[in-house]
Amino acid sequence: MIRAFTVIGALLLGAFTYGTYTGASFGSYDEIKDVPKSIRNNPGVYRSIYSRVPHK
Amino acid sequence: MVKIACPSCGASVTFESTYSILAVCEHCRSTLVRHDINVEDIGKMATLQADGSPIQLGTRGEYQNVSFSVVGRIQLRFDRGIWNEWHVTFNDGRSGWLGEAGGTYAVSFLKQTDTAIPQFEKLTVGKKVELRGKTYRVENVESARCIAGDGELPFQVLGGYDAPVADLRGENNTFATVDYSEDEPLVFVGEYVEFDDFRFSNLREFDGWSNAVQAKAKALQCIQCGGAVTQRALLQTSSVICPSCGAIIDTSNETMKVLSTFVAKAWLTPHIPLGARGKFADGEFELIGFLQRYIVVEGYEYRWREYLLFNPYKGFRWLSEYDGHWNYIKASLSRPVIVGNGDLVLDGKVFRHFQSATARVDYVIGEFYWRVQADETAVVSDFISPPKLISVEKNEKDLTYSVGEYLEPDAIAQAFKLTTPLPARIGVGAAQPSPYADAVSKVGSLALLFLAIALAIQLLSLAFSQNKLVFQTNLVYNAQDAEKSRVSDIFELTGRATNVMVRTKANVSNAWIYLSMALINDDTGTAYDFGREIGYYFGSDADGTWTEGSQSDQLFLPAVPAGHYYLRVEPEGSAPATYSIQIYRDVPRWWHFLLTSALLLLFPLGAVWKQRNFEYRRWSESDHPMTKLMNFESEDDE
Repeated sequence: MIRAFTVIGALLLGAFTYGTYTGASFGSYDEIKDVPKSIRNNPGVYRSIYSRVPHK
Repeated sequence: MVKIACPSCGASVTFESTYSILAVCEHCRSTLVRHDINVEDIGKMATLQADGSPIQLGTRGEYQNVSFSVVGRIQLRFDRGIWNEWHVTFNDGRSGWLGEAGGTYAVSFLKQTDTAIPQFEKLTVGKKVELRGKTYRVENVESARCIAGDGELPFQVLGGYDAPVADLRGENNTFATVDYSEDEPLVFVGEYVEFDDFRFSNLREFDGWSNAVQAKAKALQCIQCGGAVTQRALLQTSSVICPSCGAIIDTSNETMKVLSTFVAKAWLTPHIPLGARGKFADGEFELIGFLQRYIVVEGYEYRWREYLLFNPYKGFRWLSEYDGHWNYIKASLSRPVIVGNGDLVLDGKVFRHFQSATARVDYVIGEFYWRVQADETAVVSDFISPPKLISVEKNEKDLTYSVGEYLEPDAIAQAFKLTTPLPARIGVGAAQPSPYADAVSKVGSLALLFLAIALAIQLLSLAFSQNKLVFQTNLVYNAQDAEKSRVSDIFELTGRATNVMVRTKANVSNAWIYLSMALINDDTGTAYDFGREIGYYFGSDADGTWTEGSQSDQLFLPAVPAGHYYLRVEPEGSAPATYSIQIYRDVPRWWHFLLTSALLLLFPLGAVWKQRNFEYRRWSESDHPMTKLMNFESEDDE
């Protein structure tokens, strides 16, 4: 039990340190590469996957 | 030292001690009394009864770093057999007594006392007695008889005398004996001492124990049925049971008699055979007796078995077995202290009361150091501090304290080199050490260490995080706008790849607004795409006013690299609204710490639960069962 807890505790501390360092979060988002440069001039050219939420 | 010639036979008789006024001639047993200039022969000393004492005249030892020699003895008979008081002279000139019976040794000295000593007739077992500023309890009251003497003695014995005596036991191995054989009671005060602490030399030899000669058990013939009876304990036992007819034979003197006949309902076979020898931490012992006892609790009979072990120098030990759980037990040299709630304290350790009941002997075979009786009873109370236990037994004449320690069945099997398996353990033994008790403290300590490290990391995170507002804007949503999408100015995110918090607020009332957003890295073209809805509703009904939702929201994006960014926002809503967006860089958060702490605490909590469950099972066999398995408060403090 002690050995298992030492290993698991160390792993948890590692995960905690990594999460704190990178600001890990469970927020829902998508990372999209190489979006067009023209967005700044024409915002409507970009279609976000989050823009079609079915609201009435 | 004074040497004289025996007036009767001419043999040399030595007075080693100046305290000695009497010496018994080894050759003719004439009793010689020393006067100032001559020696008087006052007659023949009664014959000593053969016994199994390992002490003999000439034995040497140490007590409190002072050497002593055994120069004489008186032999007394009491209800349970024979005990010897050995007259010893110390190198520092003192004279004292070494009491010895059944492997229990005590050193005492005659003391004057101003305290009123209770009359012999008024003494009862367990009664508290104050002597010379110390508290004792009566543990044995005997009308003993001094049978004979030997060697040098500080008083006359000759043909013996009656000796009403009371043994008192105090704390820290202290004891006192009050001898009522004279007009003024004599008080002897001393302490119990372990055999090994005396560092004896010139002890009596016992075949098979102190030398390599094969030991021979004494063969007797049952005086009731004529069957063969074996006596192994070298005259240190008082009764032996005939395996053929169950007669309990008194062997405390040469005139054997049947005390009673034990009629077994069923013959039992001990798990360890009689005559087997086992090695334990305090020496080698031979199994000489086996008995089964039982108690009745709420109409149910609970039986356990006791194995009597013997070593001619160290006396007796017990192995008790109940449901496959074993305890190794010996007489306690010290009287435990009773504390307020009825628990006992011995050597600074608290022993909690476990169970009290009247125990009856159910089955006996082998031999015993007292005159065991079929169906004999004693009130037995057990106190535990796992793996140790104290057993207190009380009957009309005796109050005995025994200390024991739980032994794993494997240790028993190994000690006796048993080839047949011992009974499997059922439940939890009264003194069984919890395998989780150690784990609880170790896991708890480790969890505290982990939590301290986690807290340190968290505090460092709080101290060194930027927590910086890098962008904010106020915007208006209007469904009529032809192009609702907006892009912000470029702003910079610095430092390591860490979080970004996007906080949004909108003045919606009974309405919603949905913001489809993208945080776009202008340098790399990578977009973090997400959507957030803000909705806030309120009203009233029969139950009163109500609200739902909120006018603000926030989202964390993890591990966003440093660079130049802008925000694209595309709103959608049920009504026109103004809204604001704030972007913070490297915001410290607590949930990582809280989640980690909660997960770290699962292990110690699990260990505590297992430990509690173990204790619940242990105490369910006691007078103080825990009422609820999940109740973490002690239920048995009454």
